Amino acid sequence: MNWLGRIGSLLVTLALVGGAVLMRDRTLSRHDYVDPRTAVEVVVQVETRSGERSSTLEELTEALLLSCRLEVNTDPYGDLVRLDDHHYSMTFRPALDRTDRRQFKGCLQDWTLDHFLVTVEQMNEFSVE
Amino acid sequence: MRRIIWLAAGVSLLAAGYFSIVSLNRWEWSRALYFGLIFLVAEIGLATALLLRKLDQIQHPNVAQVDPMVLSRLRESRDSTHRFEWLDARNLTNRTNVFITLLIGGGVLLSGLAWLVDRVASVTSTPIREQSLAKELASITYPRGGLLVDDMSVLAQSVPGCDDPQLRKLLRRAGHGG
Repeated sequence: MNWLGRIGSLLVTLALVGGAVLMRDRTLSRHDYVDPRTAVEVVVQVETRSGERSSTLEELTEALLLSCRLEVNTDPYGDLVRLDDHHYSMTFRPALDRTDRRQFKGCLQDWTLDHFLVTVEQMNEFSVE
Repeated sequence: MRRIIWLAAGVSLLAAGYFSIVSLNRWEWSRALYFGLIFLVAEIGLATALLLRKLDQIQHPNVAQVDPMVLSRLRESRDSTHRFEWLDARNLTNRTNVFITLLIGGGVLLSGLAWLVDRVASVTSTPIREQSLAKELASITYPRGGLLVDDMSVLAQSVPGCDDPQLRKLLRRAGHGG
């Protein structure tokens, strides 16, 4: 193997290792300390098609938010607030670290409830004391 | 058609795999499962198709092989007609083809010229031109009431002592006056 081939192999190896490290950093679950005096307001856009007639958007949204918050380290801090026909918000305390944010958002936007689609628009963190 | 099916299966496999990984990274388990299922279906379909193709090649080994002698015979037997022969300057034995070409080409050119003349002629009779022509013709049109005088004018002329110059003029135009 000549020197050009060696340099090429070295570059490919470096790229693979760097990519693996980057992927590890992006995907690994790591929990950090979260100040208990912080809260996060989650604003969601909701939509339902051909769903159960007895279930309202408000009920579905509240059920999904309350079930998904069980997967992360936080509790409801107030009731569900209706912003308009398709936008709701709910506050949770304490705030979420980076991994919990991703997990909470993923749980909400996943196809958990039939005929019910949620898009997380905002996650605003703030202090409560 | 077969290539399109292979391509669709390959694209489905890659897309499903990609979105499965993306969904896993986003903690969207239901979506990841769904895309994983599609990935599995595409993978099994492709693998089955590849195996069947391989089995077919084993069962019919001679189908894929082409006898070079047969191929050369087929190529030799192909009709070697020289197309566009009339364009070949070396061929001086038959000038009829050139004549026919010129005739057809001339016909096409004449048809095009006729079409152009027709288009130009049709432009000369536009509505505006028709309107101006109608205006010019207005000076030589017949009077609205026609050339014949009505009964009242005739009676007026027969009244003794009537000496209306306008009436006389009108009757002269109509050929009744004297």
